[in-house]
Amino acid sequence: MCNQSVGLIQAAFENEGIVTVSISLYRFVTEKVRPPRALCVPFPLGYPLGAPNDPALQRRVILAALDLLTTDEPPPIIRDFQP
Amino acid sequence: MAELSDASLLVRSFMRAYRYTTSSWRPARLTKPLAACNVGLVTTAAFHLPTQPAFDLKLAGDPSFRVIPTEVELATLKVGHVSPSFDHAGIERDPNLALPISRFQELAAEGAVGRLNGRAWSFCGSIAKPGELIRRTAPEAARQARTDEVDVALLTPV
Repeated sequence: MCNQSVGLIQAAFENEGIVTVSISLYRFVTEKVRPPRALCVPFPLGYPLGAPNDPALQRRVILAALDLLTTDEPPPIIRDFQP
Repeated sequence: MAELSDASLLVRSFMRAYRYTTSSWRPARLTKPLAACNVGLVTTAAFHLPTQPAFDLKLAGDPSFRVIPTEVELATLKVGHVSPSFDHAGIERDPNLALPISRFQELAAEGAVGRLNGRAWSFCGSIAKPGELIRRTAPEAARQARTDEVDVALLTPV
């Protein structure tokens, strides 16, 4: 349910004029919820930014997510993280 | 990517039958470079401070949220999630895995983003009936972010 909840909260932030991006652990849920921008990651539930105490991996995921904020592509955008 | 086939039979059955809610939003536009943006963090990992009430883990879910000051000592955060659907060990070892406060402090120090907002928002994502979340609590958190002049937000599930 976390992936649905994230998308619904994301919509509320976007509606306040905040440009939002979320991490998705379940692409099929995100495709149904259709938030503005989502980065699908190849990690298990509970590990949205990859691995604990792995700052380099966490950073790569974050930067890939932030890329979706500045793209010219109109939302909704669902992109896959390329490790 | 998490695979549905990895979930328990009960969870798989629920997720296949569940009617997901499509979100409703108007696209916001970024009007400044990321290097000038105030970044807000939102997670559904159910983190809370030791001094804050735990989440109510009733079946339909708890749509409330906890405000987490981003200057918090991360090791003091409690994980209020009890969902058996995911492994809690990672976020208990390193809360940055879902609430990347340290990473954004680094990115702000490098100038990649402007700054990390002074508060983050933590929900408990196991919300099967999201009506109250949609109508009341998510807009309330979003208004707080707007008051804080948050420009961009990163949201993470678990």
